Amino acid sequence: MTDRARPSPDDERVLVERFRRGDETVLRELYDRYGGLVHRLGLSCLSSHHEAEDVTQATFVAAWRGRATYDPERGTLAGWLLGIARRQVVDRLRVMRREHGITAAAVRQAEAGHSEEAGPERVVDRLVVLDELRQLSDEQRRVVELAFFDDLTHVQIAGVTGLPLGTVKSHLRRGLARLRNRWEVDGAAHGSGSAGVGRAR
Amino acid sequence: MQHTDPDQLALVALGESSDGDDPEVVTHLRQCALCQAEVEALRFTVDLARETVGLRTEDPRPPEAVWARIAAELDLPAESRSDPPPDDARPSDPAHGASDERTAPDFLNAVGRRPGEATADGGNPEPAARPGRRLERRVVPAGRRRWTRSVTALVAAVAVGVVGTLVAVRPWQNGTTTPTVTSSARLRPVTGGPGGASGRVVVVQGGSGPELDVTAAGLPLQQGYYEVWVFDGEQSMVSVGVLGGNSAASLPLPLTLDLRRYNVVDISQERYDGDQTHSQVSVLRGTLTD
Repeated sequence: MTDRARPSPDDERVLVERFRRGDETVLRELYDRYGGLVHRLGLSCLSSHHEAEDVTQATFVAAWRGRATYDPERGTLAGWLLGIARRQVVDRLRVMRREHGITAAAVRQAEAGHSEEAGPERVVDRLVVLDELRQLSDEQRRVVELAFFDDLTHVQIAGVTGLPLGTVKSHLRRGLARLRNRWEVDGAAHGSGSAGVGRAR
Repeated sequence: MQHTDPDQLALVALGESSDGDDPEVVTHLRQCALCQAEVEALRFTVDLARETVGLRTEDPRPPEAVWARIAAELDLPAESRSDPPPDDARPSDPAHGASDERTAPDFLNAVGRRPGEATADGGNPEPAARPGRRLERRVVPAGRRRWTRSVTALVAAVAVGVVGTLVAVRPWQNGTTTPTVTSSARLRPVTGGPGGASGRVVVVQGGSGPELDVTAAGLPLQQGYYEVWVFDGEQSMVSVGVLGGNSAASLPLPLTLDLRRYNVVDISQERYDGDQTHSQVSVLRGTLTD
């Protein structure tokens, strides 16, 4: 994928405008930008690379055909694409149940995210948070990652990074607020990902 | 009532220990539904963020062929790309070599073939007219031949003469030959065929001879396979090869095949019935144009 330097809100606005206008060259840019994220959903939930590729393909095809239904007020492009991909994944899980006799219970578990393996909704939520994490400033991301993944307290983070305690607390509060807001907008349960485009053929 | 400082709520959500917790904060949180809800939402966010620990690598790039199928299905221009991709990760696709002149559309990348590259891979037995060809993506059911009898006879009859000529000229050994597209066709469903199917075909003249690169989409799953033919519009169909599992194929064409006469590309639905002739069930068809 093209190395996504943090896209500015302007970048996204321009992409959305070109997309809705039907500019044929924009789909490849969206694919370069979000194709990997979409592909991750399929890889996480389905059993083969081939199926994941099918989902990625079907997602971008459905997105292009349904571009008039994308409403930027309801969420980001990434969230919308992940919503389409999630429906593709869920449809394929249902087909697997029908054709391969995977028990209904196991599929329901997977879909509801109760099992060890995360269901598609949970994976979408993670990917949305992942995408937002990437958009934090380097310094802020470093601080929140030390808290999330290394379990450091804010005092320890200040020690490790050399940042003032107040800065660390502010990064943590604002970083967490951004991730939470992004999830509220683009998460699987609501927002632009939850309606419309993208049933499997 | 003074609500808990938001900085503090974040730390609570992160699970920072309760040693030295301000007793006022603890009490307030016990009593205030608003702040509790806030902490819950933040805790949920923290849990999600922690679950991304396995995703901290660069997103795996889907193979370029996925884009080719998207473009084929939507009938987008093959050049609809924002920048040329770096080397694909697929093992069968070596890094882009000497020529940066892409006179062929990027479609070629998509089917993962680069005509003109020598290979030591013996692959399937092939008519003698084309030594040294790389044979990928040829899903050949056991015991089937790829050519109708008439064409096989034709190829065999001219093989000696053709090889003799080619040895003198050796076009495929010219490693710097840039593949050029000489004709192409959009494939449309045949009347009564699967309405959602589509496809594209490109004839490429490369260093190792002419090749038909096919991409198709929307072909229904079936017990059997899809075969690619060229048709003279009257009675004569010549089999060119079989579509691979991903509905694409790069099929070498016999040097003696006259694409001006056989200018209709046809994709048929075939069963494993031992019958090498066309099933009479076509699904996609298109006429090659320059």
